Amino acid sequence: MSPLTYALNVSVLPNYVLLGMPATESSNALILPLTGHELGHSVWTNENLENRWAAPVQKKVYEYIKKEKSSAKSTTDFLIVDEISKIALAQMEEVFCDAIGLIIFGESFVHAFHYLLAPGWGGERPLYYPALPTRAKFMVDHGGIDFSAIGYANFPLEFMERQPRLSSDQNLILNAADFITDSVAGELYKEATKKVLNDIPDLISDNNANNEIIHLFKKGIPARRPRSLPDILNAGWQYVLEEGKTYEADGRPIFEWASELVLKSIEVLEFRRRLDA
Amino acid sequence: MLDCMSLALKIEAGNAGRDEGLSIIPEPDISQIKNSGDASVTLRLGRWFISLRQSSHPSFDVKASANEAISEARAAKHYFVPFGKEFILHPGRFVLASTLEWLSFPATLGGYVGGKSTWARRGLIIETAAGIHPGFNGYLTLELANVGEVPIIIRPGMKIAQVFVHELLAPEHKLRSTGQLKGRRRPYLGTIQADRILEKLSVS
Repeated sequence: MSPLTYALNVSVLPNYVLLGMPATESSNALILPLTGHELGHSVWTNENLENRWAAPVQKKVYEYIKKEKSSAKSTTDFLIVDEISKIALAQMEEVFCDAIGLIIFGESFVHAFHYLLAPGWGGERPLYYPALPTRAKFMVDHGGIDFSAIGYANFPLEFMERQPRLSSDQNLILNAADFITDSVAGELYKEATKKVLNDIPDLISDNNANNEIIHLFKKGIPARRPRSLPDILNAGWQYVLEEGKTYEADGRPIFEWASELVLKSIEVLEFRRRLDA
Repeated sequence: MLDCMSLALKIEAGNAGRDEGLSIIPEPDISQIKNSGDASVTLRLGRWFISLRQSSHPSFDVKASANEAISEARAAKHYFVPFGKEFILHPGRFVLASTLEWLSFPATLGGYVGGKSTWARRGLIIETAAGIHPGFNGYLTLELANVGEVPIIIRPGMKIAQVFVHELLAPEHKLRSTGQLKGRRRPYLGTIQADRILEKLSVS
C-alpha cells in the first residue's frame, strides 16, 4: 500500500480518493493528477487483482529460482518464494496505479509525477516500489505518450535512487521481484487501459478538447465548458510550462495563479454537471 | 451603461476569449439576458465565506500599518459550503462571500455591483464596495450583513447580486486594474493600504 494512501479509503470512503502531500504543496492544484495513482489502489483492491495475479506470479518466481539456483543455496526456501511474490505483487500494484493515472490524466500525470518525485525520494529505494527510473521507463515504454514532444528527451534519466544495502539472499529476492515486475509491466498497462476505456471512456484526457481551455487560461479566464478533470489539468500544466514556471504579471507565483484558474474551472465543471443531471 | 443586447454580445465575445469582451464564468444564460430588457446581469452566490474572529483581537484600527495588522489567518475564519448545503446569517452578523461567477473585464469596461431588492427588503445587505475597475479579473467580494430581525438562510448558487456595466468614454487610455483583490477565487480580507495623509492628521 502506498504511503500516500489512507488505509481506510476503499472500505470506509468508497467514493473518495485521498491524496497526502507535503504541506508546502497543499494549495497546488496541479498535483491533482497524482490522485489517478491513488485511485489505482482502489481499482486494484476492488477488482481483486492481487488474488488474480498471485498464481501467475508464484509460477514466475519458481521459474526464476530454477534458473538462478546455482547463485543461492537457500533458493528452495518457501519463505523466500513467499517474500519474492509479496514484493513483486506490491511492485506490480504500484505499476498498475501509475498506469491508471497516466491513462486517465495523460501528460499532466507525467508532469505532476516529475514535479513531485524527480530526482528522487531522497533516500534508499523502497523495496515495495519499482525503482523510480524503472517506473519512468514503464511509462515511456507502455504509456502511449510521446515524451520527447512534452519536453523529456530521456524521462528515466530524470530520476535517480540509491540502491539499498542488502544481504545476498535479500539481493536475490529483490532482483527476482524486479525481474517479475519488469516481465509483466506491459500487461499491467494493457489491463489498466482496458479498465479506463471501459469504465470512463469520455473522461480520459483529450489533447484537442483542452485547446479552448488553454486559450482562456492565457487570457486569465477559467474554463468555459470543461469536459473533464484531465482536460482542465492538462491545460493547467501546459499553461504553466508555456509561461516558463516564472511569475505572472502581477507578481504572484505562477503555480498559485494557475491553481486558482484550475480550481475555478473544476467548480465550473461541477456546476455544469449538476445543471445537466 | 450597456443594455441587455450589448451585454449579451460582450459576454459572448469575452467567453470566447476575445480581448474586447466581458467574460463571465460560469456562463449566464445569454438568450435570457438578450430577452430580459434589463441593463444588468444577475450573479449567484459562491461557496466560500469568511467571518471575522471576534475573540482574537480587540478592534481594527484604520491607522494600523500592514506590519502591525494581524494576519488574515488570525483575523478571519474560512468556510466552504458545498452546493446543496446552507449558511445561516443571524441578525447583526457580517460575513464576506463571493460571487460564483469569475468576471474578467476588458480595459474598456467598468461596472458596479448591487444587491437584489428582493433580499434587501428582507434585511440582507449585499454590497458596499461596489465599483469594478476596468481590467478587473476574478470573483467579486460581497459584504453580506443581516440587518433584519430574523436569521436568513443563504445557499451557494442562489441569485444574490447584479452587475451593471459601463463603457469608458476614453477607451484609448487603456486602464488596467492592479488591485490586490483581483485574480482570486475566494474572498480575501486584504491589507489596509497606507494613507500618508491620515498618518499626518493622526499625529497628536
